[in-house]
Amino acid sequence: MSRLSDEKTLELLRGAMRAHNVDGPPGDLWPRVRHRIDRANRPPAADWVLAAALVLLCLLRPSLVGLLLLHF
Amino acid sequence: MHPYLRAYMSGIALPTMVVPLIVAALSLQHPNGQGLHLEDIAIFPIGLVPNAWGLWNVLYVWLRSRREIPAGLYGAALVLLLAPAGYGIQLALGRIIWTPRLFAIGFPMALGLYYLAWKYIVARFNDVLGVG
Repeated sequence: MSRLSDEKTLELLRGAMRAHNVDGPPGDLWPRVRHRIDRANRPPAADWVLAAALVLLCLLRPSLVGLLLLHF
Repeated sequence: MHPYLRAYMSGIALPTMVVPLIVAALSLQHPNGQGLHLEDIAIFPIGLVPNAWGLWNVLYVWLRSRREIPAGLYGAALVLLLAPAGYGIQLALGRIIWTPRLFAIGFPMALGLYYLAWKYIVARFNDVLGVG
């Protein structure tokens, strides 16, 4: 039974582990982060549809505007 | 500091901003003031609604510290409390404004309006005041 030295152990560990990409990311990641944040903050389509429906109903029946305001 | 006071203020802000619009709209509708009892009509939007929004938002901030609650749906749920209250006030004053036809259209609209207002305005006010 052979004893492993520290150097040998490290060498085996390095060999077993996947090499990391030491060159860094391919480009500036901030625009992609920013884009994802903006996309997450954007109202969903259903909310736009709901807002449009409310506006349309108010245009079709202007008397509803006063009623809605009154009970807001 | 005082997060519930801030939550209350954040909640009453939007309906309070609407009050002058209501008074202006009523004044335009009744330029002579004949047949208009402002106190009967305005008791609901001035006396009840802003306070209800403030207290509802206090409850929202309290609940939100325990679990995640969607602001829009939570705000829309307030309509379910205010509608019977509004009808009760109209009954008590003997001035029924809501006809069945008007209610059938206005109730879903109010749900949608409250949903959007709470999701995009009250939640934003909460963020600004640091209780979001």
